[in-house]
Amino acid sequence: MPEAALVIEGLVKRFGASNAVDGLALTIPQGEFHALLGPNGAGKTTTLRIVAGLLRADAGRVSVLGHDVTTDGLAAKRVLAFLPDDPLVYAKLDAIEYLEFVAGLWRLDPAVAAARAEELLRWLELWPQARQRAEGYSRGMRQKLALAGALIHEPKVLILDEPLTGLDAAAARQVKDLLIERVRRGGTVILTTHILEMAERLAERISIIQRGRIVAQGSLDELRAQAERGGGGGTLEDVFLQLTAAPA
Amino acid sequence: MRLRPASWQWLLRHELRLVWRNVGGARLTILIVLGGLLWLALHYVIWLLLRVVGDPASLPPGTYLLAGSTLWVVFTLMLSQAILLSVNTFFDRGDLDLVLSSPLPPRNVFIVRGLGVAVAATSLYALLLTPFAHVGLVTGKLRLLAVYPALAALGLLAAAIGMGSTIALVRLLGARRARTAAQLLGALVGAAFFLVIQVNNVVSHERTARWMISLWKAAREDGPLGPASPLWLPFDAMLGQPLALAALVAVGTGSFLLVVASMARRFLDGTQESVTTPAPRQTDAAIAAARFHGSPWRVVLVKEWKLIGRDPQLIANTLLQMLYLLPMMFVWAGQTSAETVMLPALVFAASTLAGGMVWLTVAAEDAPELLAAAPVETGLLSRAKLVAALLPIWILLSPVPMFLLASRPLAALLFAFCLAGSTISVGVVQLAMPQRGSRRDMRRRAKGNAAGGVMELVTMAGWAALTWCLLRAPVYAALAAVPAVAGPLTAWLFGGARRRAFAGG
Repeated sequence: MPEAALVIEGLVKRFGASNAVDGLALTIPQGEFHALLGPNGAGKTTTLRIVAGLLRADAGRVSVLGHDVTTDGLAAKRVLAFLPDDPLVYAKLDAIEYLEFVAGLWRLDPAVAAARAEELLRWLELWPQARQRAEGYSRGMRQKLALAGALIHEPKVLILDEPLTGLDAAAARQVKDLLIERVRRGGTVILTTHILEMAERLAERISIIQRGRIVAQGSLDELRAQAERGGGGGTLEDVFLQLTAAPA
Repeated sequence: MRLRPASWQWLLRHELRLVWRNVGGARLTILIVLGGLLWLALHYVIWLLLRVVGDPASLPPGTYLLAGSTLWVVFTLMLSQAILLSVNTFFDRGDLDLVLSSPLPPRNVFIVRGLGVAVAATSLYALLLTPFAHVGLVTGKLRLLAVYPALAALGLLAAAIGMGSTIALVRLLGARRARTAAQLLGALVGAAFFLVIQVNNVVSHERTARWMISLWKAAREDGPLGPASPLWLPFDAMLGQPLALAALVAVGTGSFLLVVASMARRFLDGTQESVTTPAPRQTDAAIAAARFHGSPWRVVLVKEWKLIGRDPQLIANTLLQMLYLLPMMFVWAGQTSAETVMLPALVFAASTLAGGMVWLTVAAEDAPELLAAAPVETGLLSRAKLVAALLPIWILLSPVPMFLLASRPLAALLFAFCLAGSTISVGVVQLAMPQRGSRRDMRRRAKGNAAGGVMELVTMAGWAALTWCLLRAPVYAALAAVPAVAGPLTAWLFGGARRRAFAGG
């Protein structure tokens, strides 16, 4: 059986007296499109930031494709890409320079990285502005550039926090297609979103987090069952509201 | 007083509140108390001064040269301030979209913003000059009340020129480049005054004396710089001479209204154009073939240098710091013995610069999450950033040891050692006690990191003292080395929590 893309066991993260993540457990197999849903402050972003190595957990274990993020963090980061909800790109660098920098951090072969950068920028329709500094980009263009940065090293596990923020309809469609394509090619995509329709249409499995714990998990049908709706007609929004309204 | 919302007075109050709050927090109380005490003390000093001077209407001719030129210096500083404030109020504050999308006439917005600039640029000098009016009122020299309208007119004139320059730059260069150019212009106008007063250090004493005699002759009753010279019109206005005052008020108010009337729309159009016009598309041929570099070390260096090189304000500030050292260099060139002062001063200046540059590359990193998520050891990134910050400083100051090498090789080596030691030590303090910040807060980087600031200062002073001791009194070198080493060491020992927080623990 192949190694799971992500395994989280007993994850705890405290901020002061409150537990942002409280014993969270989650396993996501390779090649899955997984959506992480939850109300504001539920602990989604904190969890993802721990997985990406941006925060240290107070307790618990996280491994990405078998690499423990605490003891073998660099190996985990090599196969991972994390796109925060408001990614910052360097205003004074152009798109090519930005991607060159990111590729260098992941130690990509320069020739491969250059070709990949062109491919991504063309695909995301940023190529005509590739030599302009990001300070002149719209929010959507910056978001697309950050996405190109996340994809340049061909990560096996792609984690995205609210990836459609700031994108127009066409760009949002492009990103969705790209994510589906990555899963089709064996990659794993984990995302948080408030756009429930996106999770409903794209995700194979959905986890709902509330107060730092997973309160429900499964395919949409399984969630409907858990929400005692019996599979008939309820949208993800109905299921989500019912599950998150119940006391955890 | 309750002001009608959206009236110009209401807008002006909003404007002044923002300027006032920009002074900021706890410092405000201290500033008010100290400023108030100084202001009261000034009244007494001016009362004594006016007793000596007598009737302001019949001052000796030399007074015009002294006081009149001082007033021009004040105006130059007001102008520098007005240019910087114009940049802040039109570009940095970022509320232009909100205000312009409201149902207010854009011209009113522009007038009020201009008045805000005028008031803010004048306030410090009002503190120094208004006591003349008050003392004049008490002592029967009522014409000195003209200080108020004259000062207001100068403020309006400074605001008009400041805004006019900013607007002209917007039209000429576009909003983004204009912002940088205006900041440079403001800083240069301010620095010009400093450089002029350093003339004494640059030219020989004999020549300075000759100039002073010529100036004094020109300032005689019938000379070109005598009391009748139009150059002293602002001073005459302050003294309450009706014609001069009327002329100054007319020029100040007129130029302000002219700038507002003729250029408000153009400025707004210019800004909106540059914000909303999409970036031009480039053809494939215009996009140069990408030449990627491989290692994290190299890409970090290249990235940091590109960001530094593309920050004209940073470069301008750095060059201005160097410009301020020029007069000292001239003194040094004339007197070899001056190097015992000059070299420690250069070490101190270089480590100050190093503190800022390392802060920019480490604490003000624009994309910390990207770096934290990258599979690169934190130590490697820190070392690369340290080198990226320090290498330009070493290159900038390399002519100094090279110049010394032929005549004083030991001094050259000692300077090179202390330059490297001080800059690296300050860099280590920054790495040991980091605090996340934004590039635009560079001048306020010590805010919220008092311990780090103190350690940095101790380290810089220690290395400057060590340089002096090694050159002049080596027997005390070990003593001076204590703070030089203790600064980074203490920062490292006590900065663990700060480092963990910085790394996302």
